[in-house]
Amino acid sequence: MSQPEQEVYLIADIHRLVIQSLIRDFNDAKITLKCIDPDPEQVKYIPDGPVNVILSITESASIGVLRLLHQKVLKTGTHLFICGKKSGLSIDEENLLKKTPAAIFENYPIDMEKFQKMLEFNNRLKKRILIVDDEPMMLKSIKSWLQDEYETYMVNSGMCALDFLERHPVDLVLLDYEMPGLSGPDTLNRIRIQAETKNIAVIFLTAKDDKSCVMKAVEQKPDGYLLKKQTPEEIKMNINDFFKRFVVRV
Amino acid sequence: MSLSNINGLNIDAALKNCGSEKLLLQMLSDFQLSIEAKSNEIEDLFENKNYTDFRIKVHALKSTSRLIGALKLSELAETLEHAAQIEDLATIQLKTPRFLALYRSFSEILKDYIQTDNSEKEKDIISIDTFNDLTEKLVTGIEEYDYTTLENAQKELGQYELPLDFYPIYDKIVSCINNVDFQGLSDLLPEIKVIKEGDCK
Repeated sequence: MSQPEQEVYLIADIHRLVIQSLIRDFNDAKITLKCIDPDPEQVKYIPDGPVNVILSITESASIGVLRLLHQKVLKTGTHLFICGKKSGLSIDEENLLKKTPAAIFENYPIDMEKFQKMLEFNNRLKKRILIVDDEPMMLKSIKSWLQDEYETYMVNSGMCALDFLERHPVDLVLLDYEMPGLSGPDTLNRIRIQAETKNIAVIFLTAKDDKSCVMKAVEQKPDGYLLKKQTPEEIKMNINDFFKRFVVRV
Repeated sequence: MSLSNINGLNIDAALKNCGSEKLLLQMLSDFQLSIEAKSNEIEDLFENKNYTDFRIKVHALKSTSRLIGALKLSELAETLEHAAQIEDLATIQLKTPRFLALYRSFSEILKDYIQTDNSEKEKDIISIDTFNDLTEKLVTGIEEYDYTTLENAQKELGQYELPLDFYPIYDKIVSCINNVDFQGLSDLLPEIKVIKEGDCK
């Protein structure tokens, strides 16, 4: 099956040599660039939604442009890539950028392999979720809540999850906390130390709501912590929001 | 089957927690079918004073009973989970028998909600080709962790009269699929492959 055409908006001063070189790299990678001047009036015409936008910050990041992009990322799920060094930014601009989920490529030429992997993730229509829970009723319920919007898989133990992840790429693991054998936290540790799985996003989905467990879980730096007592709609909404703001790690 | 008034269940809460009537009906069936095994398991852990695994099991039941609207059972499970966490043995000793009795009472209450494929009609004998095709799907489903393929293959197998040799393993497959137990299914793979290779009668 042929790859769908990949389209990316590039906000940059295209007269700069480094940007011309960047454009050539994208042409070689068969990625269609739509070049936009770094002017808020032009940037606002980039469509809302999960489009991919590259912003060259070396000379082009005015606070007006950054504000617009910040809104687009947080409200409409735009995927933002930042290229160049932040050294030329004002404090306000840098602070705003810190609050904006974005993939950062500090050096030119940018790592095209990494960029393409990120693009592939962003463009995937159905993200893949592995649900890990020792209770089959919970597995089937969570799967049924998510399966219309996501490609879902289920396993009933931490060991099976590790075996699954060795062979199948996923975009997110929804991990129960309390499980016999390998617990949720132990499973997360094992995911994080394996080179092939360390970048996978992991969110705890658990009935454990006592402070000590939440604190212990947060220390492990999962990508989120959801409670089973939330309604199916709330859980789904949280996961949708997560994917809107998540910057994939490759 | 009416969902309006089931003894011991808060149906409004159950519908809210499950998100749909269809899922709730499936969960009521799954819950009922697991009561005997799980209550015995919890009872064994209680009698053997294995409070770590006891806590994990009642913790799981806290969520599933809440899911189907068995809120009193869920609350009791939470109390026992907490008691096991802080090693409050007096509470565990006092409340576990009541908890198990309440849990087991749902076996009778929910028996009409069991969803089975067992129809009374006579089944056709499965052809060798169909049998091989479906067992191949089972093998693929197990190796690829593909639950949908597994579930569909198992449902289709259930519509036929199967080779006699296959029934003992088929029952184990059904149980593992119901429990989303891929480890159990992996353990069955060698047996499935042997039967698939043509020794069945």
